[in-house]
Amino acid sequence: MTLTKTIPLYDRQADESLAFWRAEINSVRDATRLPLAPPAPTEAGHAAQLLTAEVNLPPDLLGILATLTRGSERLAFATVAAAAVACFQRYTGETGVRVGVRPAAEGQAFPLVLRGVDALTFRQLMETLRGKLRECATHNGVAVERLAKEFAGEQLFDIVLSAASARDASSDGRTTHSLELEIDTVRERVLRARFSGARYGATEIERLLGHILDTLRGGLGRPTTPIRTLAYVNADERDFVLDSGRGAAYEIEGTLVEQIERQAALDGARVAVVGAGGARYTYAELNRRSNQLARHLRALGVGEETRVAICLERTSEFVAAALAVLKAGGAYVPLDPEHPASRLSAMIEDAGTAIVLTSEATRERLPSHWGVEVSIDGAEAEAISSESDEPLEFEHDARSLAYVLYTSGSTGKPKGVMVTHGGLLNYLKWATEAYGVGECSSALVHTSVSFDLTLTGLFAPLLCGRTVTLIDETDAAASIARAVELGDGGSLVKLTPAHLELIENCLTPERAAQFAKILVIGGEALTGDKLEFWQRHAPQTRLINEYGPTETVVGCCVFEATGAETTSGAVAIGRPIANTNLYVLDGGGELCPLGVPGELYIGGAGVARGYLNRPELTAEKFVPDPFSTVEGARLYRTGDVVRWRNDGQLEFLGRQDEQIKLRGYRIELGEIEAALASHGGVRGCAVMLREVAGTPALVGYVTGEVEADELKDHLSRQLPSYMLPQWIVRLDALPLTPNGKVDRKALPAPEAVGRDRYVAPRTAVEEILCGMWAELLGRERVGVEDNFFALGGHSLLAAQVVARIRATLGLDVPLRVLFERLTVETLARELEQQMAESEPEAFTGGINEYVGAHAGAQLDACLVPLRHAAAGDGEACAPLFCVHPASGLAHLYVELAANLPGRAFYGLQSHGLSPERALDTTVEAMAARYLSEVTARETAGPYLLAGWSLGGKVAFEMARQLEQAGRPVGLVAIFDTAPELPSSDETNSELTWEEDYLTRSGATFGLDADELLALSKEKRLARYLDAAKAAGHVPSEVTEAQFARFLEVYAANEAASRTYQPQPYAGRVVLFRSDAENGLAETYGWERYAAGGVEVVRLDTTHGQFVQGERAAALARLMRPFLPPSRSCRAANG
Amino acid sequence: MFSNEQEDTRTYKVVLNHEEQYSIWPADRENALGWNDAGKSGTKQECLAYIEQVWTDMRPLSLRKHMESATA
Repeated sequence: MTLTKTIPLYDRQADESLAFWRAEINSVRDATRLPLAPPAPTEAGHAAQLLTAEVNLPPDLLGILATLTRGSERLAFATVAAAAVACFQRYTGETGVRVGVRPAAEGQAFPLVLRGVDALTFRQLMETLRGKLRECATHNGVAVERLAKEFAGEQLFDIVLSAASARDASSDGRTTHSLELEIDTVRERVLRARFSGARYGATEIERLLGHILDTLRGGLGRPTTPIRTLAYVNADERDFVLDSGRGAAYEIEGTLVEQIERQAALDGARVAVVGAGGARYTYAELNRRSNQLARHLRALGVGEETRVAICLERTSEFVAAALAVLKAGGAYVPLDPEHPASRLSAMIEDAGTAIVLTSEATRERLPSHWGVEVSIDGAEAEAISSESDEPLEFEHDARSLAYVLYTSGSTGKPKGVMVTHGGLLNYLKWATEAYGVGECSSALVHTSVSFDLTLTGLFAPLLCGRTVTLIDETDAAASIARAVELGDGGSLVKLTPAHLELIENCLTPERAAQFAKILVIGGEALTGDKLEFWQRHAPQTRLINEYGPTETVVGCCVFEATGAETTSGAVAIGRPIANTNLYVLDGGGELCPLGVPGELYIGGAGVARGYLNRPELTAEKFVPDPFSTVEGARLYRTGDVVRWRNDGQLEFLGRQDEQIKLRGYRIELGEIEAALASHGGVRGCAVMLREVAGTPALVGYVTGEVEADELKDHLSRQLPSYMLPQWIVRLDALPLTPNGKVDRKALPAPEAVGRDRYVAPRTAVEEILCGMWAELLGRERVGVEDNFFALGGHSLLAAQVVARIRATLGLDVPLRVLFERLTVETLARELEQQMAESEPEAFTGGINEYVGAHAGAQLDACLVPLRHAAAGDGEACAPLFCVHPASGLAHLYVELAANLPGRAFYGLQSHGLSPERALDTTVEAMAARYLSEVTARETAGPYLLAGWSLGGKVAFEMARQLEQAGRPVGLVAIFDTAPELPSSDETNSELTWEEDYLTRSGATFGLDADELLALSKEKRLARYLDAAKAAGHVPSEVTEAQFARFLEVYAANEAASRTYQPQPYAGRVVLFRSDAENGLAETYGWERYAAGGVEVVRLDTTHGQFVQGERAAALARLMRPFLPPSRSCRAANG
Repeated sequence: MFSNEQEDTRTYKVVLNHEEQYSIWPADRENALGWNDAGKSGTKQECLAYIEQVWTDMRPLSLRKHMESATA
């Protein structure tokens, strides 16, 4: 019986479909992934499990659906799918959505790609989606499988929408997506999710189902409303996030000045401020001193809303001066004398300060400016001390300005944040209570007075009669060392995560517990690893993660780490402080559901007035509060990306402006940093996007004991390939700004960029890769140490490298490997290892083999190794034997051999090519001769045989003879040979075979046929050979005698082909046939001889181009499924 | 999650509150409590440019009045 199976891999329809899918996939560069935090590792029981959640489709919705879709299940599916897509868009904030769809019960899932979803109304989305489903249906089929292969290593989709199906789609165990959403509007009438327990918590998915239903309800009710404004957070969830974001209501009375004066009145002898060298002010002294200075300032015209610059070191005098400015009714503008003069003069000018308070020590560091300098220990000292030390009569207004702090703007121009008395006191009162400042011995202040973070230590102790201890060191490390000396176990220390690390370095574990009562960590994102030391060695020390931008006064959100809940990842930023409202909003300004990332907006008492002299920037960043019941309330847009945890705590995910786009991918630098920090060996880290040799690249900087390769492995387990840094730079320490934040501008460019040294390839794989890269990168040459990205490579080119590696080396390399192995050298090692692992015999210098064969060097043996097997042949899997066509030569298989690496590959060429050896004149004789050589080389089998043209017949004949001898045949691959036709094109009957060959072949390099035919046989041959050698058609070392013999062999082979009559063979053959229309049956008629059937594989090429040139790679790819892999070979051998 | 600033092509309007503090708001969205249209709409940049012209005193109105009465 004959079995015919057609695999139309290369028919035109499939090609068109493939092109369609490619365009679809490439239009949305990333499979849509829900940005939900995975369940905590403690729920490890859920990991790797497939969980199910479902929600019933309510009858009212079903009713509307049925009416709208006139009972069509297909349309109902598309409508519910539109609601799901709308949710995915809003969850991710991406404008494009790429998911999978399985619209028919038994069908395979295919990608569904929608662009510009955010701008659509629900009706538009429904219509777009329906149209897309129809279009996709016409291209669904084998092409999708091909697509999956083409995008191997990349995920086509992570979420699948499937129609109600009897088949349990998730039970096949090979699902590559994390969530399948089954939409059943007819039978069970449910929305059912099957999802990876490792990726999602059941609560999150249940909520998602609810959001989809609410979106559906809203969308059907308001089909012309943009989906981004549809309410999809239900009342309970809305209440929960609003409640979680609402800080305690709290009455604030008085002002900072009044509070401090009250402490002075209560007990004036207590120490208020201790400065460098022991200089100190008691509360009474501080009060008197600041009263005198306030009066002096008032005399100079300072009143409400007047801004006064203070350029003093971190001394007791600074505290007195700041207090004096406030007492005079003005607002102080701290200038750090350590800052560059240009920055200071820009601030004085912007702040419009007519008065600059200085000292003799700092005034010389001031740039020339327009203000009046008042030196508190210089020319004006006497005048100040002659002022009355009684307080000024002044009534402070909570709305009036307390200070202006400058923060770096994105444009590089500092912005002055205007903070009011009401906001300042709200924070300080809250902090004093929450941090138990009254129970602390003192606050150690080691950071710049122009840094928002410093305010906690600078003023909170003064509200409750405690001491401010100032450390007057200009260097951060020296300040920290001094703080370590001063820490007495009762201290409050405010610091950045980077400071925490510095302190850890100069504290012994035994001393850790005696350092501080409370550590308040702010200024930058905190990761759990930074707390471990303290949790272990100073369990009594309170650890606070305080979050807050300058624009809402120091801190607005806090989390106290108790050790139980902290992990190595990001530490939560917790809950809002008193009189503060926090909202997590999406791009449409709507509340984000729990767990879904959005931008943090801050409202309440702390909201600053705005940016000094920047009304447009203020209006952009301080926006109406649509949730407040207070009229005209404003919110500050932080630009920070956060999410609500289920327990009502906020989690900080990164800066929106650090969220960069690299070649179409949206990337959160903070997420990469958190992944780096989660490695045990990493102490500090920073990630930035920077130009490396003219190309944007992600660069990771780390401190600690860890190797770059190890880190890359670590990252690749957590992050998608496009988020992997192309460079990892190890530093002894991260450069810090004066405020103790990582100084990104000071991070060095990655070293070893574009090395001058050229290192030539040393192995075959390196040679292939160097050539490949040079071509793709448009370079003359590429050395093995050159970096792909430094040479201008990017991920799109990297995808091409992947494709070419697959084509030339037959290896499927995930794209991310290219991001990890950046040089030819490292990539080659990886590929070589893969080869070694995938096949027992190593790939050893196959290139040299085929180059040798190509030169025509071996004309004296039938069996020509085009690729050797490695040592230890007993373990090797079956080699492939490929029989020559009518020319008798086997070197035309070299490209095919190169494309089938890891397997020994032998060509068989005609015995008669050497003039002293006999000429085989029948296919049977050739087969018998070759088998004697083949079985001598390979004793066991199974034998893998192939051949093009005449070779196909010989291969078939060899299989038949093996079968008769009772030996195993693994494969008979026939390359475009029909059993009953001559191998070559029809011959011209008026010419001899030789004349015909020479004239037709000569025509290809411009030899005139009539001229040739006019010559004698000998002269014709000589003329032909000269021209052929000149044209490079025949190697120059071939002699006339050899060539004459070659023609004899050729003619004999042609004759043998014509006369061959195949005999029945019980096994199966695989026919690789040309896609060209040649008037032959699908199987070429092989089923008459191969009782085991004919498997037909089509290749998009002509007979003449079948095994050579660019189609060799395609042929190799199509052959691979028929070649037994190593393991089964070994089993067969054993 | 949130809109990319560079891609923001929505129409906004200029709004102000009782303290004459200015801001911008999506034109198709209902005003928040206590906020009124200032009579200008356009792209985000157009609205912000308008605000730059008209918002010349950034003190809240009540404070301005309070200070005026104190000095009067």
